[in-house]
Amino acid sequence: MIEPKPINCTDEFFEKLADDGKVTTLNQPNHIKAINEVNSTMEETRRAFQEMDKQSQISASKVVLTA
Amino acid sequence: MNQGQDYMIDSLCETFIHSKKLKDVITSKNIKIFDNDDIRKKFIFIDDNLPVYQKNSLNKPCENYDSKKYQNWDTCILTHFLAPLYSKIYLETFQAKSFVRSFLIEGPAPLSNNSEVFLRTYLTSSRSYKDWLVCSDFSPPDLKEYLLKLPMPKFVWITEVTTKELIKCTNPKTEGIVILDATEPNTFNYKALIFAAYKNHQIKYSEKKDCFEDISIPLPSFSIFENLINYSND
Repeated sequence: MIEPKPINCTDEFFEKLADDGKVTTLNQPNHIKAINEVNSTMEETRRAFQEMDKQSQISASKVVLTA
Repeated sequence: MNQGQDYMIDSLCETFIHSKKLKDVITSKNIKIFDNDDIRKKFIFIDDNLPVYQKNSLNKPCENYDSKKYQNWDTCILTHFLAPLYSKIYLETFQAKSFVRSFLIEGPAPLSNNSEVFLRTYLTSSRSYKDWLVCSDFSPPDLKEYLLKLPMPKFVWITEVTTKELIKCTNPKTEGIVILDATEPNTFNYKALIFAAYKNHQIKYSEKKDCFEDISIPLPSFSIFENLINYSND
């Protein structure tokens, strides 16, 4: 009997890479630190965006459009 | 790209970065970041006072007005504009672009010292992107197959990480890519990140381990996504 061939070999590809030691799980302290750094920058960005959004809304509410 | 566009890219200054923390890191590592959106493009205007389809820049929208007929109109500026997006796009452009910059500078596989990158960010549907990916020269083939198989939301923010030299080629190329979920407003703990690849780092989420993985395989440069509106400065 002919064995069915898998259509998608991606899982095998990643398993082989893991066996070859080419996969690093990003859960080490330095990776967590990097995640926290990105988080704090994004928090700063979110606040800056909220401020700009609010200012834009305030200035837009003062505009009178005339035809 | 034509000569005019080459000139626009060459004369591009480093992009403005809001975060002081990122600025300090960039300065200390001597990283230069250029943004495709900083190129001064001309847009098509439909203005009630003029025939339709006039080309102008957003900085000077009334530049082509007859100064004798319309006095002082050529100095007009845009104060407000509305840019409607599909209702389910919750990740704002500003945040998506900031995330990519922060990820490239402070993330798990940061840009090396003295590197120069040119970022090109756009919003597209995952179907359009996958449709393009099928015919693209993206390699290795297994990674391409993985991306095609990967479940994605309806809309994604894509950032291509390339260089000024590669983007100016007849067949523009990119060295890396960051795919973000445009329907995910939460960027904390890389929640919006779907996939990232740059040079020898491919970062993807592993369902088995419930965390991100960095795969060290070389990523050859590949063609940029071409299904966007073309622009010219003619």
